[in-house]
Amino acid sequence: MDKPQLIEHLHESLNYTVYDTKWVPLSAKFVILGSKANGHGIMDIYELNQDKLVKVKSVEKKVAFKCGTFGAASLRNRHMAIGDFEGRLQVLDMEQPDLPVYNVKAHNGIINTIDAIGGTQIDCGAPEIVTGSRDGAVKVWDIRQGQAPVVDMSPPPQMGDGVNNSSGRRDCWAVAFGNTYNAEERIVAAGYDNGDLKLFDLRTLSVRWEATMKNGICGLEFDRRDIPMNKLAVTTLEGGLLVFDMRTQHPTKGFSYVEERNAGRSVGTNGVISGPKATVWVVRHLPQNRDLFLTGGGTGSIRLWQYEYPDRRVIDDSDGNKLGVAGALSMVSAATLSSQPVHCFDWHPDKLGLAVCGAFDQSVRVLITTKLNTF
Amino acid sequence: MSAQEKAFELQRQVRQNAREYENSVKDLYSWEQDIKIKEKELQKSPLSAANKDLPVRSHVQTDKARKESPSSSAASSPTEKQDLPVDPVAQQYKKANDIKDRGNTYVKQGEYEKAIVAYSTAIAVYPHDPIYHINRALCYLKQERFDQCVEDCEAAIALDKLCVKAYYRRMQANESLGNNMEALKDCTTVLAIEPKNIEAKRSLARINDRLRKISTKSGPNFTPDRPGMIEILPIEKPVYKRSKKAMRSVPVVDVVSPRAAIDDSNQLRISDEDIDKIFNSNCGIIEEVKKTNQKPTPTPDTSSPPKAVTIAESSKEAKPAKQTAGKEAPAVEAPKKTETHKDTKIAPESDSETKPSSPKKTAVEVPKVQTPVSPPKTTIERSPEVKAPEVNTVQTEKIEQSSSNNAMSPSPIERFLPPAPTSTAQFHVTWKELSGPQKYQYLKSIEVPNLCKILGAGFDSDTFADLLRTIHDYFVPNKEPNTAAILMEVSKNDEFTILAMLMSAEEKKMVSSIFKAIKNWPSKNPAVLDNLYKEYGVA
Repeated sequence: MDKPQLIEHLHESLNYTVYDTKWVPLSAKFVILGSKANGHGIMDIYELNQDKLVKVKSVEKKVAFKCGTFGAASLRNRHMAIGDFEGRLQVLDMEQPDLPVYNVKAHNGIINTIDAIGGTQIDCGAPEIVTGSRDGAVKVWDIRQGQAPVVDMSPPPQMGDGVNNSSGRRDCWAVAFGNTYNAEERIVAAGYDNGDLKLFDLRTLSVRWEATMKNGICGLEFDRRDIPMNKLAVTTLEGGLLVFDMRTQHPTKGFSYVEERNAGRSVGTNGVISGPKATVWVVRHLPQNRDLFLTGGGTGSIRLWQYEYPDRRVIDDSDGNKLGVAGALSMVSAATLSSQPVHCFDWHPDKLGLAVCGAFDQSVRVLITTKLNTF
Repeated sequence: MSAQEKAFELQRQVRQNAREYENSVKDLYSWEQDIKIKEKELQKSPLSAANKDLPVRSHVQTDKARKESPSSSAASSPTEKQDLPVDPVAQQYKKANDIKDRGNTYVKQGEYEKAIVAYSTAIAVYPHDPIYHINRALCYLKQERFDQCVEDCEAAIALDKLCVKAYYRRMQANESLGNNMEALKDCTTVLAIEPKNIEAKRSLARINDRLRKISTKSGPNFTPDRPGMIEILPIEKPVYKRSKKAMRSVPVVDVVSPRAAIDDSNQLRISDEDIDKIFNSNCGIIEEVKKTNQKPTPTPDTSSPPKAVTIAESSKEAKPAKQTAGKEAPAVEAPKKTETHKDTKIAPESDSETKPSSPKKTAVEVPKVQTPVSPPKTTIERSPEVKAPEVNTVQTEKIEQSSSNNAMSPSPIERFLPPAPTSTAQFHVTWKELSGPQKYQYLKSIEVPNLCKILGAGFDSDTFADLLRTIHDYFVPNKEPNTAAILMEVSKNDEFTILAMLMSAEEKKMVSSIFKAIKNWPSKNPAVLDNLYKEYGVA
């Protein structure tokens, strides 16, 4: 009975739809990105103040915000990279959010997902931002370069008959950086609406690996980004959760994985899994312990998982090739927060167990997770 | 009672959780205060950009990223960034690159004069990139202004020592100017930087050709291809067959007399310094030796040419002996295996050694077969000793080849016993090269349960017959206890059914004799035997 408890500490109802929540590094503040009813984008900064949340700043822009990250910003200058509904990527300074530091029309469609790296990590390459969009492109940006992306991974131009255009272009739903253990190496993982998972190697500018999941990929995250690829967690529609062992790539079978098909369904208080196969929207590894991670599901429940490594991570198959062995997943704890999907979640990088999450019920919640130090 | 306990437990749990939460919250509040103080301190500290010194990815791999990038759309908000990096040097570099791009388009259109102007501007804007110089050099080359081309190439080389294109263009210019020696120098430099540059290789051949042509009149000392010349090609060998001995430098003897027709007075002499420059190696001053063709070698410790001749001669004499003794060569290693390590040390140049060993072998061959040494032991013991004869054979082989008498003696005999195979391919490759007794050792070294897998799908009738022969000739006389198990394991192979059906009469005879022998052994297992009879189809 000494399981960690996921406890709702603070709750704030809002008058707009939340799309992303992120902690401001080295502070007790977090940022909420969202869309007002009139389609305007809104960015609120809240600060924890004992038993209540204090709104520090609020910025409204013409276009709704979809996603944001602090990954490419240093601790001192808090620059948040934000993608919006019209495909614009802007970098805002939290001190002066009115004038963007960097502003570019990055995509033709909505920027669904964003990830950034190189801000606070040392010796792992240039600060870069990756965006994935409805137009199917994945682009990598360096704000020191002007309008052009540093790497552009667009799908080939339309091959269809001009009628069925919509099915041809894939919609990129998730991107994640990884494998940046030195200044040159860097990998972008991208997940698409048809279940395609692609690994782009930015050093060699090539596709390292691709695979297709059963359902569209909603969330991706490497367990750690500043080490040689270790694990990649993937969440999909219809409740799929897959964890790939990324250490060993077999020439034909690729990376091995462990799969959990019920990750999106709600868990009752007595541990009974019920309800429809809801989407798993988000996966976030605990920064302080990368074998623990949390998934946010379509039924408004969140679950804490533990990945257990197998005894041997690599075996030789009959042809003498190395084949990775996936470990096992076990659910550590679960909680139901809302009637609507919990689609964004962020662990605080500096405080163990502190997290903020947003749900489609127009509210954000600050969570405390106890007993995480026992793992 | 249990319900009561449960209720109590639940209550305890709830209380504990509440306490836990309370502690967490308290902890959180104190952390909040800490972090707020830290944050304030941070605000005071100077601004620092994140990892600014690292290059922008697309600037490292310039062309590709730029091609892929979309054209910049018109700025739709006042703060939208224009294409101007903040760093002034980078800005200049970018400007210069733009000018260069313009120059490149001129080059494509063939307007070299305009292109030269563009590149000159680019150099003025940003003088640190050799690419502008190289490009301008190309324009000069096209305009046949070779002197300027050479100058530009030199400027580029001064900026980047490994600038292949600069060397290559200077070579082209020098060739056109008639400075063949200079061109040769540049060409070798290009090949030194990029050994696989086909263009440069072709140029090297062309320049060499031209130099040879000139040399027939007054040029430097290049000898033309002679019709009777034999080219000695490197010999490809698997790793385990290679000599483990250190390389020895052999003195080069120029057999052909010097070209006689030319007066000494007219002969172009290349000073030592020039040679050093060409080959980029400083050997110091070398005293010229008169009246000999022999090139002075910097290593005095190698044996003198007469000795080399004697080696060659003696090897020729030894060849017939070697060929006759070739098949009995296992004997040469046999004594070493069974006898002690010390007494037989074959010196590397002892061709005569093969003869004395031949009488020895008949005596030793028999014990070798009957008293097999366990495989791991042999491999360890043998390794220091076999080296010597191996080197020996390698030498004789080389000499045989060079004298274009390609009687390669088949020498699987000299190899070590390989370690037990781990895969099918490994087994089949090694199996074919082994001698009879070695096959025995090899088969024994394979663990019986793995055998079926190792034989795999490549198991064919030859291997099968070989296997049976090995069992018949070696396992049965030695009464190996696992013979039946091996046969059983072999029969599990997928290919076995068809192989068993196609067994020749001889093979069947072999099988039945094996079974007969097994039957008489004390540790027989009738069930296994019956099974074997059935599998092998022998009554």
